[in-house]
Amino acid sequence: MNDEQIQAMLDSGLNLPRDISASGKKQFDSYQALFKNLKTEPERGLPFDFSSKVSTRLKIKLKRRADLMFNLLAALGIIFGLFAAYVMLTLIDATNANQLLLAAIKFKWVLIMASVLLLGTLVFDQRVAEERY
Amino acid sequence: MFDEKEVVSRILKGDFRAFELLVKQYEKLVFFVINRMVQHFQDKEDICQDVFIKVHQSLPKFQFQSKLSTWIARIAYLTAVDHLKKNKAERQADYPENIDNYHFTDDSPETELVKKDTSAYVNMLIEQMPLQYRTVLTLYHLNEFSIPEIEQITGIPEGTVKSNLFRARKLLKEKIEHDLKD
Repeated sequence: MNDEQIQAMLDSGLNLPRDISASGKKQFDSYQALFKNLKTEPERGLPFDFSSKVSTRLKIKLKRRADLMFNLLAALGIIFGLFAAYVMLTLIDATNANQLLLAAIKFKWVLIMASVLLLGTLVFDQRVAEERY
Repeated sequence: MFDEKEVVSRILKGDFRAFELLVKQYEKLVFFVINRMVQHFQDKEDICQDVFIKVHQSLPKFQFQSKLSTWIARIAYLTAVDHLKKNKAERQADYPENIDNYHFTDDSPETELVKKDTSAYVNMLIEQMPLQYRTVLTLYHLNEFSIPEIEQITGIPEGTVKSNLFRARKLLKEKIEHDLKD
């Protein structure tokens, strides 16, 4: 019997033929021992709390994604809110609305910094909550 | 009894306990794949975690066209391959040449100690083999996937899987016989 036949026999779970030669039996026994060793599981595996670690990591990842969406919506809300206020004021009193717009452009960096500070506070709060979690 | 469809449905609804159940069910399968493909032990647990995060991400796209175990094994295999591509040190340890010409090299003094434990010695020999041999041996014998499933997981044609399996086992058997004779 050649190596291919012996391997095929072991793969199929067939028994050794009775009329096999001594050398054939020796080959078969070698392969049989090898197949048994190939099924041996590794000594060192994953830690016992692996599933809860993965679950925690996933929760943090999903929370970060939700927080990012919230922060983007908050930023868009600020922009939209300012724009809506300007439009409403234009409808009520166009002159004052234009004055407000000029003032906003003059103090644009104050507005931008205030928005960044607000969003920064949100992000910081989320990170602290994450670490506690 | 682990009901795949029920667990997947619960996970898609945001049930983290169902996700933990899935991880517990398949962590061994994933570990067996990663353990043989990746050499550095510190990376193995991280990569296994990455696999399950990817499983969760891709679960909405899973349509039960294959077994869940086959699908997860494929994610594990591809994640390990990506890691090997990025990690130069691991890539250099892999045998890059035509694997049909692969043969075991002479033993180092350390291997003499390992030989006393046959299982450990077989594992050590497998670690020295080319990636494709390590992969098919693990998926077939440890994970107990069939040849068609191994083709689905790795993308390696069935004929190549069979010949790699045959050649890897023949090399191992001859090496062990030679060493026991010594």
